[in-house]
Amino acid sequence: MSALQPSNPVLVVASLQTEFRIARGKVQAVRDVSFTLEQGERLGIVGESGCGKSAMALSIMGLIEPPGFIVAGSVKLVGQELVGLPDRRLRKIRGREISLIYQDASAALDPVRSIGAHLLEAIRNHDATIGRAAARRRAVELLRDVEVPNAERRLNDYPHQYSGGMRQRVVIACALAHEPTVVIADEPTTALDVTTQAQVLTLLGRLVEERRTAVVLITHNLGIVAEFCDTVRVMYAGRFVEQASTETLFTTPRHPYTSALLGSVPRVKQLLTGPLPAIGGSPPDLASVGPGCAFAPRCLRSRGREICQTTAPAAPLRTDGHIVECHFADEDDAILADETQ
Amino acid sequence: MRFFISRLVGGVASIFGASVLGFIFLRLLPANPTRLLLGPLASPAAVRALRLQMGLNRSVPVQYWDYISQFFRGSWGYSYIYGRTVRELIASRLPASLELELCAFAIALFFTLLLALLTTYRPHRFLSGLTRGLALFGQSTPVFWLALVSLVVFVSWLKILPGPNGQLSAGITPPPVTTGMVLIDSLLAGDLTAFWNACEHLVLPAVVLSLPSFGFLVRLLRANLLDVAHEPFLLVARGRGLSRWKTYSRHALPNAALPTLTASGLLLAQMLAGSVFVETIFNWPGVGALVVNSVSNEDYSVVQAFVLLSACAYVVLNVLIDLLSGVLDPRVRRRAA
Amino acid sequence: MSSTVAGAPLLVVENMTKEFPAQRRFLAGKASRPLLAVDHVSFSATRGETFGIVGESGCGKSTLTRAILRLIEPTSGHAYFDGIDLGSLDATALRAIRSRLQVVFQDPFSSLDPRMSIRDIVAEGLEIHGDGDRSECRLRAAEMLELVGIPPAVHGNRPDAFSGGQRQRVGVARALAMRPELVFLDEPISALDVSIQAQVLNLLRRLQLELGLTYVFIVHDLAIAEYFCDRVAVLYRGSIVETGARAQLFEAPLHPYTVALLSAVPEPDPKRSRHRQRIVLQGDVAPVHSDTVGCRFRARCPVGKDRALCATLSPPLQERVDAHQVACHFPGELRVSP
Repeated sequence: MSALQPSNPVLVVASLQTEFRIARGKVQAVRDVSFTLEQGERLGIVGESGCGKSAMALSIMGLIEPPGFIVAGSVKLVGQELVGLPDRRLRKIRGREISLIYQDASAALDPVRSIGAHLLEAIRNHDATIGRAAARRRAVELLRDVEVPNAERRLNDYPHQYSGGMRQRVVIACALAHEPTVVIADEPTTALDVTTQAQVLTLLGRLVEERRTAVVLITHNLGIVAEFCDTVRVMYAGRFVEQASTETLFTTPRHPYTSALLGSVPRVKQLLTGPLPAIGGSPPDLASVGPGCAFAPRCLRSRGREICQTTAPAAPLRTDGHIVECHFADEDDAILADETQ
Repeated sequence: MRFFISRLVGGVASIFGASVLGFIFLRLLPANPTRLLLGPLASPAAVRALRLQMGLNRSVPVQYWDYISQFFRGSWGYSYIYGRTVRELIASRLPASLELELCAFAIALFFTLLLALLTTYRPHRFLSGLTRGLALFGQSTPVFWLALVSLVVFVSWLKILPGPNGQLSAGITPPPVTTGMVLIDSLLAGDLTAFWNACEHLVLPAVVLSLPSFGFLVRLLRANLLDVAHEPFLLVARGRGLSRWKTYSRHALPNAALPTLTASGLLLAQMLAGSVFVETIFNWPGVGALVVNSVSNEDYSVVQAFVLLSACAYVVLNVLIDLLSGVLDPRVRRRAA
Repeated sequence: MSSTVAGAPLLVVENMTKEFPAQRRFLAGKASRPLLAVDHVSFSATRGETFGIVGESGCGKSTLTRAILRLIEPTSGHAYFDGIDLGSLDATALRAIRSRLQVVFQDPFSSLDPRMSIRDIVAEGLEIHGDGDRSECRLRAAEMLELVGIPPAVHGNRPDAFSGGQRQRVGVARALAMRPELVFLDEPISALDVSIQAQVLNLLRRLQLELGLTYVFIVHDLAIAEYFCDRVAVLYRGSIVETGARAQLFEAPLHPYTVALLSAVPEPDPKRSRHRQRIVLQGDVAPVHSDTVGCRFRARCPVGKDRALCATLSPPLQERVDAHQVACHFPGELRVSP
């Protein structure tokens, strides 16, 4: 998906800000996030726990509940503004134009209701006119689409009778029941084995390809992003610190967090020796974010440079669509050892 | 299927065990019912004769078997104190107790559901505090104190409710007995004055009796609801476009209700086993008061029958609850089967 | 990475088997069959090396660890630690030897008692073994905590004051306070963030060099297994399907499961990954019963699915090339273009 294609964005997020007001202060989970999603595009959002990616997903779906609030920004789905929309209107959109695939499939299904019940609910929720028999047929069809064997019979099973991989397929089936324009998948394969993960991702890839669905894939696994996504955004402390096409990001990462992350994860057939170049320190507390760059305390590039502590970096758009939030975006650092060495 | 059968068989075994234990313990009591009946001046010969007649000289297992076989044939013994068969006695007093306890249970359940739902669906700080306070009060205050205080407040001071003279005031003609429960009977007979009067008499004891159970249940249900509220499948349901209320009622409530259901079944059984204080204080003609009297009078047969009946009630209710759990929660079925 | 020490094997596991008996139920129609969680697993770890056990969920790796350490009793088989048969020890002797054999568990959130300070948690093992009096134990605990990078100022805090990565370090400190020779690491970093994983791995290596430890590292992430371990065994449904030095196993895997597993690992290199040939295994893993016949991987194996030999005979673990062992009738037949 090069930058020269005619723009047909299905999702436009602009300056989104979400905060949680809890006892110890205001936690700014999402700090000024903006991105555009084209039809059929696969966007990957990479970040570790606490970086705000789940909060962002929920904000887009309008599922943030007090003590969380969307304090600023806009989310436009196919031109329709979602922020500020009352729940009864959002309900009509959720599950139909935009869907959520949640991380932990075993917890995403109601344990006291059958798989069929889940699918039927997903189907009939947005289509009140469909008859029971027709709904059931559609449910079987959906199960077959996600490659669950013996679909007809397994409709009556309960979630605990399905394996983890199959449960995730059911969740995907529910999410795609109405052929939404956008699907947000929040760590869809984290709880799964590697082989199951491969199955599920292949399946998901096929389904969204067939339907030209746009996908926002949230994960901490860089390998998945490389294989599945067209564009990537790296999230740190509630902001996107780097945005680029997948290829660009992996070949020429410019933000120090991105390159450190890429370097600290071992790969197969790499046969590394010596210590892993790890990132020292730990992720910041989002309740107390200072004025400067959030990554500065752990950043090797910022050593001895005051501007990183005092001023938040701006992100000028470069010619290749590669956006980096760093004062020294063009520098290249040799990966140094972390502090515990 | 295996699950249901195993539960039923377990139930029968429990009843058997309870009956044996009850029988044995009663026989071990240092009581001499014959002497009690005949008075301290009776001759030893007369005592022996009565013992023979009552069958107390035979071995305990024989007595037990005799009793059990009689029991299931409907013959529950004879009360020498009251001069009637135990069965008649209990049957005459049971409806009043049932009426009281079922009302109390219904009240407890209704308010539990209402308050638990209201306070967990959307945060209501005042209402939550009130509910919690009420629950604590209900659980920790002794029932007899509550009964007495309520009488003082509503009958003596405010004078809006009639005094503790049973189910109906003295001047009202009781309706013809169909179920034995005055409330229902008066409705069936179309006698509205009696009905209203019965309500007035029922209100106080039922509410007092319901408070401890309410306290327990509402805390349990609230806790379960709050726990379930964090489960991801609720979020996923909303992500599919379900409204908050539907998500709550269809997905959160059933999951939270299960442990509460089990507990409430046990509470009901407990209540059925005798709400002694309340019946005594309000002069309610129920089984609880009867049993207390029988114990102090060493009226074996009544107490024995009562123990066995309570055991049955407990076990039956437990089995029903278990079965219900199995129906509602497929995981229970799988785990146990 | 420590150089392969040509030392005597410190841990020898022979035919370790753990079967969970059929569950007898009241009014059971058909009793469920016995579950074979670990099936005749054999391997050895030499002093100073890191031996990896790789497998997916349900492969039995946790059961294997527990059976070796006698945290659960194995059905059959032996585990020899420094020549001593662990199965032959009585309760007292077993407890004594446990100070030389330690475990670090997966979940940093639940493996620490939330009511004790981390110093007490680390000192507890020492006190139980009667290694010096209370203050001495606490001193050694403090030393250990500093060694893993936790500053003395916070030693009095309870686990909930620490992050996941720090708690895992506490778990490591606790295991190492006993000065063990062999440490089992059961998925020690899976629950941690990516950037913290690297820190903990580096810590573990440093400690291994400083203290001369031998590791048995159980993991499901192949990349980490390749990076961290000298030799690796691949476990599938309770038995080892392939064992080899890391260069052998990862460069030239012989067993089709290993090949499929490696091809399923997503690679953070978009140019290569798009053109990679991948084998996506179908189906799910079901538990193995003792009456299962033939190769247990056959149902999902692209090589053996339709082959009679694979259906009737379970392949034994045999050495092919230079300590590279594989349990397959047709090893090396499945190849993927890199």
